[in-house]
Amino acid sequence: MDRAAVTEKLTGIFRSTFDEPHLVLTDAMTAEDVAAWDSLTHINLILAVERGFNLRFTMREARGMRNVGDLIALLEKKAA
Amino acid sequence: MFTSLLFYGELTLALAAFYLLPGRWRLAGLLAISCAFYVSLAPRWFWLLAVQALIAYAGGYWLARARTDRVRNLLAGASLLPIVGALVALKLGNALHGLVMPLGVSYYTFKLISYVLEVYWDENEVERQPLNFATYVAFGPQMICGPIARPRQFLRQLPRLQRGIFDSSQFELGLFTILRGLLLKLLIGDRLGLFISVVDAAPQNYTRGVLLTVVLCYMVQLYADFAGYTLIAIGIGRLFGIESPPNFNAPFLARNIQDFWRRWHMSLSSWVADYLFTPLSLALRSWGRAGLVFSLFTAMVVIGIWHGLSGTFLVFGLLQGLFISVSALTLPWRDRVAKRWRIPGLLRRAVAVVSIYAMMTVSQIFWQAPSMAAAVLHFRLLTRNVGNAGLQFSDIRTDVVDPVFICMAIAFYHGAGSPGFGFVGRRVHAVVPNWVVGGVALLVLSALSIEAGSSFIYGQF
Repeated sequence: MDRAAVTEKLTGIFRSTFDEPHLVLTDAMTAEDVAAWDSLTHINLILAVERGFNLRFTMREARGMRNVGDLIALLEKKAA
Repeated sequence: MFTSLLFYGELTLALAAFYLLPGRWRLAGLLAISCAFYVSLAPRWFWLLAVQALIAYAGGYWLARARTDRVRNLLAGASLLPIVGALVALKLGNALHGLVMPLGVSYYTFKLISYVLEVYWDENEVERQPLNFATYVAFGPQMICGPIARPRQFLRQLPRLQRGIFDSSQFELGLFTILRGLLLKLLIGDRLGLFISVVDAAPQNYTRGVLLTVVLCYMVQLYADFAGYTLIAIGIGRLFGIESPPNFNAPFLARNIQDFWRRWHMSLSSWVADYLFTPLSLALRSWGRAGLVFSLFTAMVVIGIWHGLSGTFLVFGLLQGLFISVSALTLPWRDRVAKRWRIPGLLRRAVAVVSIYAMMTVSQIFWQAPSMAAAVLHFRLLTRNVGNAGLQFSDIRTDVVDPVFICMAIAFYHGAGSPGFGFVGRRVHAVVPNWVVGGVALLVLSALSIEAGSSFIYGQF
């Protein structure tokens, strides 16, 4: 799966998880940039991404991500 | 400590020494000042701070060099076990044998745990310079009441410090932050604290009206005391060129109890969210809602017993776990109802403000009580007319009782983000120089501070 496809699919997941239909992802985006993204909704996001991409993050992977760019890079690697 | 005149004399000398040093020596100077500060207050326990810091530093160093997950897990466990074990042992000693907690141990232990876990999760987070690492751990202004700074946020500021720049605007901001903190702590927190201590010394002697006022005072008094002290700590940090994370963000205006904990004692609640709640709920994500509720209860109980291993703090944590679980699980349903019934946002917010204050007050009765029996007595006296001897407000010394309601209102207003104050402040700033504002604040402070010795609630943890 290439970066553009990952980003497109991920955008859909972010929009439905945070109920923000016009959300646009950027590499530098973090939880501070999305109003509804907190420690509670973060778990929902991880679950939705795992379901959407049919994969499972290890604890180290899930905690090591610093921003959306890291998540996209990780998904590119894991979904390859 | 931060409220004594002698401290500010010593602080002035320390700052003069710090800024007289050439840039490349300032970091070492800051570490020396921080260590001297610790030794002057708790000479018996400095070794523990040093040993714990050494364990975390060595753990981080080897974690960053580990190549397999098995080694990483072993190293993380070997580093965290003595660090966490010492804190638990000390808390047990405090609960069972009345051992006085070493200064700042709850704060610096959490700093050390966060450092080890950050390196465990990402080896790039390692700090190889012992001087930088030691300054992060021992930084004096954050030692008594936090805020619990994160390694990355703190360490990235150190190169700027070593360039030897004196930022006058940061220094001035620091002075005004200290002044704001002193006003909040000494004029509001201490006055409310005096009223609480007078009534709570023999609650059965007072009418339910007085008792209810005392109980309603708990949250605003704790806010004024802790937020005030935190502002002083943040301000002192700024004088040394270090920015600390905020600890409060208008908590009384929270939308729900989850939101309250994102605004109250933020450096502790975000620590628990990042290093306990998130990993635990991730590990239990296959359990669904049960995993979420279990993780929330665990997180809130840890916040409770972080203050001390006692039944009252445990009940505080369990109550918070219950409130936050019910709130988190019903939030989507409440949002739908509000949308369908077109409930005005302002009304919803008002209901939230009142209900959160009520929930926090109920759990605060346990938090504040010296024993379970004292907490139960408060509930009995409040709900049933048993043993109330009937002393009223008029029976309490006027200097204690007269300022209570105005102080409660000011503390609540401040804790609600001081709406409108920014607008007025800008207008005043346009015509009145800063030194006049500072001078008036100092005058008010010296004229209205109470004579009784000031204590600080969060200093004991």
